[in-house]
Amino acid sequence: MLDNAQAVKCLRYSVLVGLITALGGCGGSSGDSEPTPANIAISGTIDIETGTRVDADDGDTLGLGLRPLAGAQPLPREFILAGYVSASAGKYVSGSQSSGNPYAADPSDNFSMDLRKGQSVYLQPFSTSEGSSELTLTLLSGSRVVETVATSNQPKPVEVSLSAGEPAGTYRLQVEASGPAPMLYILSTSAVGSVLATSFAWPDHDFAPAEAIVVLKQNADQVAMGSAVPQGSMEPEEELAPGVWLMKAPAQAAKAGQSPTKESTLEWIRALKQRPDVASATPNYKMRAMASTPVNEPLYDNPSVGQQWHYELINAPIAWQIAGTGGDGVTVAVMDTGLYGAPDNWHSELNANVVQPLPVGTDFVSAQFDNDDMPGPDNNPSEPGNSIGSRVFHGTHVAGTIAAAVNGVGGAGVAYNASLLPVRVLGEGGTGSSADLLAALRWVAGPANGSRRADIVNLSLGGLPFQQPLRDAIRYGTDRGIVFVAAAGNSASTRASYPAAYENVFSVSAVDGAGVLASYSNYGDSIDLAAPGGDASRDGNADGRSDLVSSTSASVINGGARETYIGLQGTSMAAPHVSAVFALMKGLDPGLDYTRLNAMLRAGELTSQDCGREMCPKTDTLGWGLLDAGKSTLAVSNATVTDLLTAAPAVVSLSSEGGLSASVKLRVYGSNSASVTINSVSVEAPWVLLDSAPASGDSGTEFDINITLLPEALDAGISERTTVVVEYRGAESRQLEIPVIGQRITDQQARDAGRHFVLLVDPQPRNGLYTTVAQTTALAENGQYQFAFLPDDGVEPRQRNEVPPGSYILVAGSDLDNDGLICLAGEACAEYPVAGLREEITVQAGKPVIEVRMTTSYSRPSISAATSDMLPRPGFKGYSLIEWSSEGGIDPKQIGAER
Amino acid sequence: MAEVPVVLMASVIAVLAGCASSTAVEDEPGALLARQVTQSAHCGLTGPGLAYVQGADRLQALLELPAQNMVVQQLRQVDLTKEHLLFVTLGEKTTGGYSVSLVSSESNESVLHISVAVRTPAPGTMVTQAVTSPCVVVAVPATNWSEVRVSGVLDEDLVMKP
Repeated sequence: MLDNAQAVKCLRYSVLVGLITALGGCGGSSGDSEPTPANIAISGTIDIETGTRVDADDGDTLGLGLRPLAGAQPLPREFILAGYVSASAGKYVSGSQSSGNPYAADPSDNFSMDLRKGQSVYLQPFSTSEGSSELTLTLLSGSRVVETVATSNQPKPVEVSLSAGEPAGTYRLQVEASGPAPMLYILSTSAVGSVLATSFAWPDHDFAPAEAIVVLKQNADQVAMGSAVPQGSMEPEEELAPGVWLMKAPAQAAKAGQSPTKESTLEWIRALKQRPDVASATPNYKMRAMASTPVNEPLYDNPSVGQQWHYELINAPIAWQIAGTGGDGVTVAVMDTGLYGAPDNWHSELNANVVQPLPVGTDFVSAQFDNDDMPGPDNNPSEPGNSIGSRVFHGTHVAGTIAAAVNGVGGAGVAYNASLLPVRVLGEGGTGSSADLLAALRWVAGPANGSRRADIVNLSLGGLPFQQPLRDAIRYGTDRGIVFVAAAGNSASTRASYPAAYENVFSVSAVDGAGVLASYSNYGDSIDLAAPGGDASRDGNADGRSDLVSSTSASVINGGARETYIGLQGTSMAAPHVSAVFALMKGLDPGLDYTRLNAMLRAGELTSQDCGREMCPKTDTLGWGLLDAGKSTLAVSNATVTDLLTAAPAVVSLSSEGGLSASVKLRVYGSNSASVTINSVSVEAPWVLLDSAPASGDSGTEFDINITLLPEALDAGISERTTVVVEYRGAESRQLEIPVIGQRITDQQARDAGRHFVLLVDPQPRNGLYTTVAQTTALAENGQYQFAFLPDDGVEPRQRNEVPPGSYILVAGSDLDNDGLICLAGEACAEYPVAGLREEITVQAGKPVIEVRMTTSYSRPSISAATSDMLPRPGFKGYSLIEWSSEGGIDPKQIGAER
Repeated sequence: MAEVPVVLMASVIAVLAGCASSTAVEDEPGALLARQVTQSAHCGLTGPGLAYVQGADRLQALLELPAQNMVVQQLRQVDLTKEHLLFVTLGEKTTGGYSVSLVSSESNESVLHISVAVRTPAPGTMVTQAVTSPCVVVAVPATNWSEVRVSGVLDEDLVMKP
C-alpha cells in the first residue's frame, strides 16, 4: 500500500503523463521529440539537496489541473520544503514578466510530522509578482491549536515550536494565505534549514561547568534552602537576587571519576527544570572579556548600511585581534573636503579621534574653490557642504573608514584608535586646485627644524596631471617618514591619475564585495594594491544589496545637517582602507616607512595570495593583490600573536551519504609563526570518533586531526552539531573550537524539489533578461532529475527541446507560483556547474555532451573565500520559460504542462 | 586665472544670469510653472535621463535606489495631487564636481520645456574619487503634459511622454 507521500507523487506523475499524452493528441507544434541514446545534444543529472521536499499542490502542479490536496502531506522529521498558497485564483497582472499566467486558489496547505520536544519549524514567506499577502503558520495537535503565528507582511521568517508542556509526537502544520496575492514560502525544521542555508547561527555560548542560575518558584525559597533540599540535586552557592540562586551541582551528580563536562552540566540542568520547586534553570554563561572592536558596533552587520562585507573582505576582524591597539598613537591626515561639524564638536563618531587641538592652518582651500564662510585658507577644516548640489561630506566618509571610534554607537573605522588630522584641500562640489594640495603636502611634512605633522596621508582625490612640484613635495614627505596612500581613479582606464601615480604613493584600485575589480576602477601599471571601494551595480557578497562602502556622513533633515551613515562607491573609499591598515601596522611598529611597506607589499605580506602559487605576480587590476589586514598586521607583530591556531576547514560536515570522515588541518596563522603546544583535543558527542589528534604536549605550527562519523549513533534524518575543542598554549592559553555537523541521511528516495524546467539560455542577456533557446522538463526520481536535449534536426518548427550548435548557459529550477519564471526566491534553482558560478556549455554537431551534473536547492550560494570567483548578480529577475502561442490550440490553463 | 573650477553649458549661461536670484521660474507673469525642489550628487539613477513622478509609489521606488542620498523630506512634502516631480539626472559620473540645476521653464500648449545648467569640473581639476549620480528634482504643475522636453543635459533635448 502506498503511503500518502507516494500517493501524492504518483498523482503528480499521472497528471503530467495524462496531460502530455493529451497534448500529443492535440498535434500541437510545440511538443517534445523523444531523446534516444544516439540522438543527444546535452544530457545529465540534477541532484537534490538533503531533506528537500516540495508542496504537493504548488502553483505549478495546480496549473496542470490538479486539485488542492485534501489531506495532510507527510513530512520527515527534518526537511526544507517550498510551497505555494493563494486565497483566490486569478491571473498575473499585465505589464509584468508573468503577464497573463494563471494562478490557482489554494488557501491552505497541511502537513503532518513527528515533532520532538523543543523542536521548531520555520516559515519564510516570499512574495510573487502580484505582491505580498500575510501567511499564518499554525501548529495543531488533532484539532487543538498549539501555537499560531503570522508573517504580518514581513519577509522575515516566523517560527512555531513545541513548548515544554507538549509531548513529542505527531503534529499537524497548516500554512494559510489571507491576502489577495499568491505567495511562495519555505517551511523548514531548524536543523535542515540552518545547515542547508550554510548559516550556523546556533546558540553556542560558553558556560561554567556544574553551575546553574536557578529561579525558584514563589514560596519555595524556604523549602529549597532548608533541610528539604533534595540531596544530589543542587547546592546553593549565592543568592543573586530574591529567589534567584547560583547553584552548584553536588559532586555526586557528576559521573564517577569524571570532572563535570558541558554535557553532564546540561543533563543536570535539564533535570533541575523538571523539579516542581524550580521555575527556570539556565547555564551560568561566561561573559567573554574581550576588548571591543568594530565587530561589536551596532552597524557592523546592519543589513542596510553594514560594514561587514568590506571589513571581512580585508580580513579586518583578525587584524583587530592582532593589532588590539587599533592604531593608537598614529596620526592619519585626511586631505579632503574637511569634516562634518566644528572644531571640538565633530561628527560624534570622529570627535574622539580628531587631533586636539588642531594645528593652525588646516584649511588650504583658496577662495576660487572655497564655499565656507571665510573664502580662502583658514584654521577651520569644517566641511560646509556645497552651496550648489546636496552636501556629500566626502571627507567625513573617508575619515570614518579610517578612524571612526568604537563607542557602542553606529559603526567604526578600521584603525578605530588612530588620530585623525583633517586637512581641507577640496572645496565646492569636491573640487580643488593642485596649488592648494601642494601647500598642504608641504605643510604636513612639517617645518624643516621640526617633525612631520602626520604619519600617513590619505588622498581620496585625483584627476591631476603630472606636476614636478607635487612629486617633489611627496618625495620630501616620504623622506620624513610619511606614508602616502591615494585613490587610483575612477575612469575605468589605465590612465595615470595623480597624485596616485607618483612613485612614492600607494595607488589603490577598488574591488566589489566579491573581490573583483569594480566597474569604474582604474587599473594598469600604476596600481599598487586593491581594497574594497564598492560597486552599486553589483551584489558581490550576495547579501541582496548593492556593494556600497558604509561610513560616516551627514544629511539635511528638517533644514539642518544631521549625522548619518551612508554608502558610497569609488576608489576614494578603497584608499582609506589601506591608510587605516597601515595605521594599525604603524601602531605595532612605529618605524614603518614607505620603503619597508613597499618591500613587504612586493613580498606578498600585505595582500591575500590565492593564485595557487606561494607568491602571486603583480596584476594590472589588483596590483600586488587585495589588501589583507590580518596578514599585514601579523607581518609587523612581534611574535605576540603568531600563536593563533586556525582550522581548515573551519566547519566540518559529516554525513552517512557524503563524507563519513574528515581531516582537519590546524595551522598557526601566518607564515612566520611560532610553535604552540597542544594541551588537549576533545569532542564530547557520542556520534563522532576522534581517529587521530595531536597528543598532549605536542609542539609545532601544524597539526592534523581526523574524525569519523558514527551514523548509527544518530537518529535518522536528524542533523546534530558538536565541537572539537583544541586547548593549546602559546604566549597564553587559548582554545579553538571546530564545529562539526553530523547527519544520518535516509531521505535520498524522498527528495523532491518540484517539477524542474531545464533551460539552455543565451549567455548574453538582453535588457537584463536571458533568452531561453531550448527547454525541457523533469520530475524527481530517487532524489534526482534526469534530462536530455536533442540536436536541432533543422526541421521547422524547431522543437523546444532541440538545441542549435552554440554556447549556452544551462540552468534548471521550479516555477512554484506558475509565473513563467524560475529561480526566484522561494523556488529551487540549479546552474551548471555550480549555482552562482555559471559556465558556458558548447553544443557542437555530432559531439554530445553527456553526464552533466549539477545540484538544485532552495538556498542560494553566498560568496566566501572558497567561491571568491563568484560574480555578483544585481537585480536578477529569474530565467523566463518559453511561452507558447495558441497556434497549437493549447488551452491557456495547460500552460504549466507545455511551456 | 590659471584654472576655471566649473564650466557652465554655453547654451544656458545667458538664461542663468537672468534668474540667478530665484529657482522659481515664471511662465507668464505671475504664474509659477516649475520650481527646483532639491539637487543631489547621489540620486542613484545611473543613466542620463528623466523620471516623472505622479504618485507616491513611484517616488518611493526612486528613493529606494542604491547609492541614493537625497533630501528625502523635501520631496515627500510635495503634494503630488497638485505638483508632479521631474527628476533630471546626469547619470553616473565617476568623480565629484558635477551638478545640475534648473534654469528656466516654459510651456507650449501641453508641451513642457525645461532648461537646466550642468556644471562639470574643468580638465585637470583635482576632484573627489567617489562615484556620483547628480540630479535635480523639479516640481511641475500636475497637468496632463503630452510631452516634457529638457535641454542642457545632452546635445539633444531629453524627451519623455509622462
